[in-house]
Parts: sequence; structure tokens; C-alpha cells
Amino acid sequence: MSLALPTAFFVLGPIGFLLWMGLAQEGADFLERARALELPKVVGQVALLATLATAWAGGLAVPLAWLTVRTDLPGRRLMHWLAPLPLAIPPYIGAIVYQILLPPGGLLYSLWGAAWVLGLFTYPHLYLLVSAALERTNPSLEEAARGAGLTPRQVLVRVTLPLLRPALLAGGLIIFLYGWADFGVVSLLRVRTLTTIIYDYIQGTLDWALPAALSVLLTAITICVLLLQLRILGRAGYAQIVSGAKPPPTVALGIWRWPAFGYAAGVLTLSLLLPLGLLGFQASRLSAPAAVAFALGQWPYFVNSVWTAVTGASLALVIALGVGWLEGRRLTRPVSGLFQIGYAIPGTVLGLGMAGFVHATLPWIYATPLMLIVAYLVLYITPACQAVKAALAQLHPSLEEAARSLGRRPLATFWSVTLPLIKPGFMGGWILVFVLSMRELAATLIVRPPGFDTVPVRIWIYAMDVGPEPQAAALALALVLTIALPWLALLSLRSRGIYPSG
Amino acid sequence: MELLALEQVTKRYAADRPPAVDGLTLTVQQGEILTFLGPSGCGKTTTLRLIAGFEVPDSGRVVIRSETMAGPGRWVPPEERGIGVVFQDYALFPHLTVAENVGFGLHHLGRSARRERVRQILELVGLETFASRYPHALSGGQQQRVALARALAPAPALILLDEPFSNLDADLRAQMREEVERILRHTGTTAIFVTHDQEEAFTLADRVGVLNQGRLEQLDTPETVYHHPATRFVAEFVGATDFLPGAVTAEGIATELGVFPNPEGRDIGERVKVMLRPDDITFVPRPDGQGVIVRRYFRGSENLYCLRLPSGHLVHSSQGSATVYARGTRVRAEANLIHVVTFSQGA
Repeated sequence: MSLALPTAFFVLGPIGFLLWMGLAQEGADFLERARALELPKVVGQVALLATLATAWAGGLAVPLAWLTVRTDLPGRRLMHWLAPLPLAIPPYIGAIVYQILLPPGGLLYSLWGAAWVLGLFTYPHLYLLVSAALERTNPSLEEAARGAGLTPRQVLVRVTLPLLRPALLAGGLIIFLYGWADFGVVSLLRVRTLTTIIYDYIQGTLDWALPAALSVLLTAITICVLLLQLRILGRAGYAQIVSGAKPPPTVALGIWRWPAFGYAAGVLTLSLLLPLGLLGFQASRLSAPAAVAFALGQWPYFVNSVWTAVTGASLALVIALGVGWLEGRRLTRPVSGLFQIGYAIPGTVLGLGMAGFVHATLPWIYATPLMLIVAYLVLYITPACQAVKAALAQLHPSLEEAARSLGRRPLATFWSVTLPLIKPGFMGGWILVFVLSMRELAATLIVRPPGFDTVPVRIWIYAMDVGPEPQAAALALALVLTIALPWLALLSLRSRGIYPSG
Repeated sequence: MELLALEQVTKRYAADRPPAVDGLTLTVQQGEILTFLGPSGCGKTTTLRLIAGFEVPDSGRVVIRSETMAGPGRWVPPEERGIGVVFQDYALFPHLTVAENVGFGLHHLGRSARRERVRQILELVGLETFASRYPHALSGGQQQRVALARALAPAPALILLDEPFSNLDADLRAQMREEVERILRHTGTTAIFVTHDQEEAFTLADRVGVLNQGRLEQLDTPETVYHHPATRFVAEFVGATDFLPGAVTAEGIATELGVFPNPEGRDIGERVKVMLRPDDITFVPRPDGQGVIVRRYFRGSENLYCLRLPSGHLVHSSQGSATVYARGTRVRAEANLIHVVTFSQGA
């Protein structure tokens, strides 16, 4: 596979480079500097941040999912539709929103504030998985439990929730990893973590060794978490016999209906309505002429963002299609497992590793926009592969065999049967990678060529330098709306049952 | 004329498992309808896939019209074999209409010729009014007909059908079976069916091949397979069967139910097992009878009785459903064998 090789090159190269740089560090010297950085304390803080964010997101997502899917909550359909939308608001924009709302220097600028923001704007990852699992739950299992003499409350605790364990683990680990890897939120809220230390170092000095060593440490932690996830999920995948079209029965909430409604509405207000409203309000404080001038001034950054994200997403999907198709037919060794490393690397680390690696091996790419495209490719090839694989798995092999027996050669079969049938899943994967690339901040900050800013970079620089002023809010609102449209399209694909798992 | 020949075809999926198809040799004549019958895992579907070209044989040759399709140093891909396939799940293309599905294999024809052929073939299967529908809007029987029409459209020399009726309801199954046979006979298409349903195999086929563990146990007309099973496996798999021990004597084969002729010329003194079908056994109730009715199975048009003979052997007898005998009734059983089939004691 001619495209998989360079991809693997760009996945492994940066990590290899950082390992080499990091391990080249002299032991005693490193320990000395690590002590100066209070490294154990920082690692403990990040672990606490990731744990708090995960618990907070779980507290938001799980009750909300159960209420919208399995109860007679007022307005449940609308809420079920709205609940995944906060994913269109990148957490660093969420941080800006709460900066607008709360006075500077308060509790927001702490570990607790960062966990609050991270949980609020990542909980839809968990919501999507848990609500899908709840919708898939075979109602006969709960009926069997009732038949065995359990009360409805016992059924919930002993059957319904245990069946959600794989979804909870998968979603929880996504958020936990996000907490470790986050750069945007913690930098804006002035919380010291591994990513901000790495970033500050490479801004201030030309010294590679210490940031490289910290990157290796951070990557080792995230890869451990990812391996743990694979291990747990490999064991906890329950095979449920799929029932017919019968939807699971809903629970009558009784007097709890309105308190439950208040809870669900509160979650959506904090994570969706309030952010949009505040950004809109803050942006509207720009006078009309100033707004026009600002829009014209920011336009080039918009173009930068869109064309790099489009190119990255297209490239990722083409490679994923080739790899997925060949792997499905066992015509190539499995390489998509390798790509997962790219997914596990925090954006800051990937940016650093790629900058160093590409500078050393392919200097003609260094300091070109190509760097951004390659970074998006490495970071998001895994969701692309998952989307394509899920689509291909739905395709029964007898369809392709039928086309062959009717006289079509393998390539003609691919064009006339395979491609049309996987198109929805393929499109879904493209949108996902496009959205993720559009909002990428940490790696972009490091690998972008001088003068080639993207919208997230501009927002971050405004918010860091000037604070949550109308300009930052206006730009953030524009980015959110740009992401929200394709994200809505993706969600409508999901509701037709072809959302890629991942 | 010989259309298809398999010569010592062997296919193994994993080195540590027995071959799925083991040294299969057979020929199929032009216009013939053949059925592969066997339990699941016997290699019948693999055989079909080897003929179609979806699997590569490990050894042996697949020959169609004297041209080697697969064999040492030669491999013709499925798209060049000119074989129609009807899949168990029909494999209709969900993104194409009925007419587009049927016309899928006619890409070499011009637009008008293709439209004419599609119309003609849809008329043959009685679906001309469904041309612009999508497969999901059709019933199971209609989907089945589209799958057949699509396979027949390019006028293949040979058509392969993998358990084509297994997804249909019982009453629809019999109707579709008849209809498919009519269409195949009408077009003179050579066909190979795969089934585990013996009734289906017997009603459709000119010849039935019984497969077991990748080997062809017997390939004969349905009547021969039923009345003269070549092996004990065939005798047991096809139809209900009891075996009664017997000894070969000069007068014939002596058993508990009497002495039978010895047309197979077995040696005197040999111990054998005689095959008994339920329709070979009759009985009359007699208070001094040596047999006892152990159980009765009501089958609608017949009653099947299980009788215990004095030796303890159980045999089955099918009787009309008009009269009913109670369990425990003492009877005298008789065997009227038209075809005497025996197997060696050890077999």
C-alpha cells in the first residue's frame, strides 16, 4: 500500500525522534531539572484534572442519556437531539465563554475550573456512546429480570446499568485521555500541566532535550491508558442478541418529571445555550464598521483553516479506504493498529515531535502548510479508519461476489458496488476528520509555518494576549458555527444508523 | 454433453483442520439439475464456491465446457467464468432498482438491448411491474425472484444456487421451488443447488449428490439414493431408517422379521445389517404378537409407530392416520422389502 507507508512513517517518526532526543538527556541533569519543575506534583495534578473531568462528564452524560432515552422526560426528543451538539464547541472556546462570564482571577483559573470546562464540553462523547447502548438494549433482558421478581429500581441497578459498562468505559477513557492531553483549556486558565510546560519551554529556549523527555513521559502515560482501554474493552464487549424493531420501554418519572427536566435543561444550558448566547452577546459589542474590518482582517485565517482541514480529511479518508479495503480482504498486513499511536499522542507532543523530525528528515516540508496537513492526518487517521471499517463491515461479502459472478472485474466491482454502499459511512468519517482538524489547536500552534495562522490559533492568541474580548468571541462564534453545520450533518447520519463508531 | 467436471478437487481452509472438500470428482451434463445434499459443514457450499471461482482449490481441476477454470497453473477469475450465482441472502444491490439489479450483468450490451433483455427476463419471473422498485420494498419471494432473474439475465451456461429457499416461509418455499424449476427447465439452464433439505433435493433434482465431511458419498437419481443408498451414512441421512441385524444363509438373509432375498450376493455366514424404511414395515394387532407399540407420532397424513421387537430392537412403521392403535398394543410386525439393502456389521 503506497499511501500507508508514508503515513506510518509520519506516525512513528515524531515519536521516535522524541524518544531519541529525550533519552539522550543526561540522567543526573534531567533529575535536577525535573525537581526544579516539581514534576511529580505536576503529574499528580494532571491525573487529578483528568479524573475530575471524567467524573464530571459522567455525572452530566449518564443521567441525561438515561432520561432522554428511557423515560417520559418532557421534551426528550429535542434534548436527545441537542445533547451531542456541545461537541461543536471546542473546550478552549468553552474556557473563553466562562472567562467572559466569571471575574478574572477567581476559582475558574484553577484545576477545578479546568475540570469544569473540560467536563462540560467533552461529555457528549460519553453521551453518544451511552445513549446508543441504551437504545440498543434488548428489552427482553429487562423483562426477564422483572419476570425473575426484581423491582424496576433493582432492574435499573442490576441489569440496565451493568449492560452499559462497555459504553461507559469507552466514553470515560476518551475523556480521561482528553484531560491528559489538553492544552487549550489549561493554557487559557493558567493551569500548569505537562503540555503547558512543554509549550513554554519550546517558546522560550532552543533546548530540545527537556521538552522531549516530558513528551515521552506524557505519551507513555496516554499509551498506557489506551492499552488499558483496549484490554478492558476486549473483555467487556457484551454480545447482546439483537431484538426486533421493538424499542425499549420508557419509565414513567411521576413526580420526578419536572426536577429531571430541570436537571437536563440545566446541563444543556451550561454546555450549549449559555456559551452560544454569551459568545453572541460579546461579539455584538463590536460596532458594525469594526466588525466588518475585523471580518476582512480574519478572512485569510479562515481560508487557511478550511483548506488544510479539507485536504487533511480527504487524504485521511482516501488512505483509510485503501487500508480498510485491503485489510478486510487480508491483502495487506494490518497497519491501522499502528495508526492508533497517532490518536494516543497529545497534540502538543505530536507537534513538537513532528517539527523536530520533519526538520531533520524532510526540511523542504518544514515551514510549509503541508506540516499542518500531515499533522491532521497523523492525529485523525484512526477515526477515519474506524469509520471506513465500520462501513465495510456492514457490507456483506456476497454483494461483491455477486458483482464478480455477473462479470465485473475487482476494480469495477469496487466502483459500482462497494463505493456506493459505503458512501454514507465514508462521508461521516470525512466530516468527523474535517471537524476535528478545523478545531485542532495544540499541534497547529507548534507546527504552523510563521505567519500561517488558523482560526483556532488566532482565537487562542487573542484570548491569551488580550483576554476574552469581543474579537476573540466573534472569531470563536464563527468557528463554532462553521463546525456546527457539518457536525449536524454527521449527527443526522448517525440517527439513520450509519454513524461511525468512534 | 458434459458441461462441468470436477477432478479430485480438494480445498483446505486451515492446515490443522480436515479438508472442507476432499478429492471431489463428478461431472454434470448440459441441462441437468443437480443438488448437493448434506448436513451443515459437509462442504457443499465450499464446492459451490470452488465452481463459481470464489475459492481457489488446493489441488485438482475445475473444468467447464472442456476449458480448465482452476487447476495446476491456471486460474480463471469468477467474472470470466460465465456462471450465475443465487446467494442464500440473495445479495441484491440495495442501491439499485430491480431493473438495474437485473441489468447489472449486461453491461456489455447496448442500452436498448439491455432494456429489452431486462424486460424479457422480468416477464419470465413475473416481476415486470416491479422494475423501478428498490429491493427493500419487495417481499422475500419477490427478492428471491429478482436474484434468480439477475443470475439468469446474462444467459449463463451454469447457475449455482446456495440454499436459495432457506429464508422463505414453508408454504412459499414449495411454491418458489416449483416456479424456479419451471424457469430453469424453460430456459434449459444447467443448475446446481445446495440444500440440507432432503425433500427439496428430491423434488427438484435430476441427480442428488450426498456429501459428508467433504467427500461425495453417492451421486445418483433421487430414487436410487433413497432405495439403494451406497453407504450407511446416506441411508441414515436420507429418510428415516432402522437397521436390523441379520445372518446370511443359503435361503437368504435371516432376521427377526423373516428371511429376505440376498440380491447383493453376500457370503454365507456373514453378519449384516438390513436397512428398513418405515414404509417397509406393517403390523397387525394380535394379543399373542411378539412386538409392542412403544410410541406413536402423529404426522397429519400418517401415523408413525415405534415398535419394540422381542430382541429389544426398535423399528418404525408408517400407517394411515385413519386408525389409531394405543401404546402398549401387542402386534405382529412384518417387513415387505422391495429393495433389500444391507451393510456389513461393522460399517
